[in-house]
Amino acid sequence: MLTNPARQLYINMDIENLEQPVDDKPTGGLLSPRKSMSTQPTSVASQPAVRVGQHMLILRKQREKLNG
Amino acid sequence: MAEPQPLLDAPIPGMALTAELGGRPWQSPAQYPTVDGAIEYYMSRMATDEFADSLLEVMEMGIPLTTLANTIQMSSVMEGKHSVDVGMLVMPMLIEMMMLIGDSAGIEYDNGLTELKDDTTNDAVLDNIRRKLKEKIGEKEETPEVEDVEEEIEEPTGLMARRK
Repeated sequence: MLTNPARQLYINMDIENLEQPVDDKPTGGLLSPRKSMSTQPTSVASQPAVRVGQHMLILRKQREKLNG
Repeated sequence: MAEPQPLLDAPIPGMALTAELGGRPWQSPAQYPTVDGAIEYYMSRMATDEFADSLLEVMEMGIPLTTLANTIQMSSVMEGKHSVDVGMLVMPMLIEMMMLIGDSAGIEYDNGLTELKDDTTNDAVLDNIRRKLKEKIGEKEETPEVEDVEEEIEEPTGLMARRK
């Protein structure tokens, strides 16, 4: 029985292949929607696991700087 | 058909009624319901010197960081800081943060990310060494000698005893 999931959780965090947040540029056409119709954010960056991954990436970069 | 087994680790009837509903911290809404809030809480807590000192002490004792991360998040759940699922999400970041603290202090630590198979190999290696040592020393398992003891049968000497 798995009593401590920490190891699995850490290994499953694929932070090397995290998608970078893309800024939505407003389109300039006349028929373009003025505001987003959906209330739900569609960005991957809004996913909690991705947000944790972004924090981890910052910390890992700091570690890599320390370790050389 | 399988025979019913006794549930030895089942809760005692009425166990849930030993405290008032909502009396425990984890029964009320969490203080930090989102991952962002929980991360902010942990970052501010772990950035203090007191935390770093006590963490380094524990790390030097050889306790794996995975165990520490699980303990930290579990105690926060019990304190009602965040929910269990937020704790699960935050746990990898806790490990990373502790690794950073350990690296910045320049100490060796066990991150707990190695597979458990290593333990079995170590045991096997230890057994092998133990066996070789025994062979070298020449210890033989001594079988205890069983002495033949003749039982002395006492002859009855009473008045009612049988005569030969």
